Amino acid sequence: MTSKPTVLDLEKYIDQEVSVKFQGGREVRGILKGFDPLVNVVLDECVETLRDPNDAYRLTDKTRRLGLVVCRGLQVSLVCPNEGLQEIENPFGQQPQI
Amino acid sequence: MFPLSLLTTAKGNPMLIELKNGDTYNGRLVNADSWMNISLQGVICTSKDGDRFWNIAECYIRGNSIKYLRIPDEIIDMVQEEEMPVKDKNKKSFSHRGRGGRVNTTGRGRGRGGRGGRRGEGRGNDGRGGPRGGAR
Amino acid sequence: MAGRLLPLELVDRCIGSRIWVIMKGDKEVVGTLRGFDEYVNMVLDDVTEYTVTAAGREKNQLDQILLNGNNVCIMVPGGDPEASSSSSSSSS
Repeated sequence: MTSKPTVLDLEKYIDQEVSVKFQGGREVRGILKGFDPLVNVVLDECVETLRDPNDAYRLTDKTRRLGLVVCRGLQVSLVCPNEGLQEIENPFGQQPQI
Repeated sequence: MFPLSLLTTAKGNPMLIELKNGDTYNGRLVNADSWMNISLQGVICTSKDGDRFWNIAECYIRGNSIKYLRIPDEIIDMVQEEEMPVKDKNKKSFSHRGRGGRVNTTGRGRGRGGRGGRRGEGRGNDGRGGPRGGAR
Repeated sequence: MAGRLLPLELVDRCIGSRIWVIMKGDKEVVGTLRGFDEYVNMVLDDVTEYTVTAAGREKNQLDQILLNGNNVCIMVPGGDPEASSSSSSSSS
């Protein structure tokens, strides 16, 4: 059985836009230019989506341009390609109970 | 059984992951490693407040950001099926060949598979709405 | 297995230049990168530390610091929070 260094091979997303979420709530998106087995990641034309200053888990529409960045793999909580990423209406057919 | 062996047995199956930041991800498990880093396909992401939803084709989730995973009940049966042949192999080395173990395993597999399929559909629907209600 | 551009190589190339380090929480730091280790603990010179609060951004000057890599989230070679443009965008 072949085992890659990571459960998801990021090689296929090189030169594509990806979104990266961090522990602590930060979220960025950018063009994946490089990565290593620890999921440190290089993003180009990176844009951070800013959060509500009063609620760290609420995203706003505000963004800020960062440019070419290195993201620390130890702080990454999620990586996904932006292709196929789409906001949708509640797909569960019922109001989620809070 | 060990949690990580349950997880690796669950490859290919749908599950719900809640992260420490409150987001939930419903999708099919593609891969998992010994740090509980996972990759999912065909994912629906729900925001912490339950008011926003996204379709995500594929994603990588870091193990240490996972709060919990909800997996279909029948996976537990699948793990025990996998453990059985291993135990039988150990027994065979000490005793006669052609023990009843082989026959029993096939029988159990069929029975479990049938029950699991029906239960899975029911659980899958409840699971999505349920955990948030339970957790809060 | 790794991509064409290794992340820590990019940080290494930044030694001697300005770097903007964004932490996990609401702190950011800009300074001249003198060096870093495998944990991405960093030595920075002529540092400006920013704390982002609901009230706004606070600034603080420091000479030379050892920045603990534990909370380092994003590193922007040659970047500057004062130059970075903030904008509103309609979510698609």
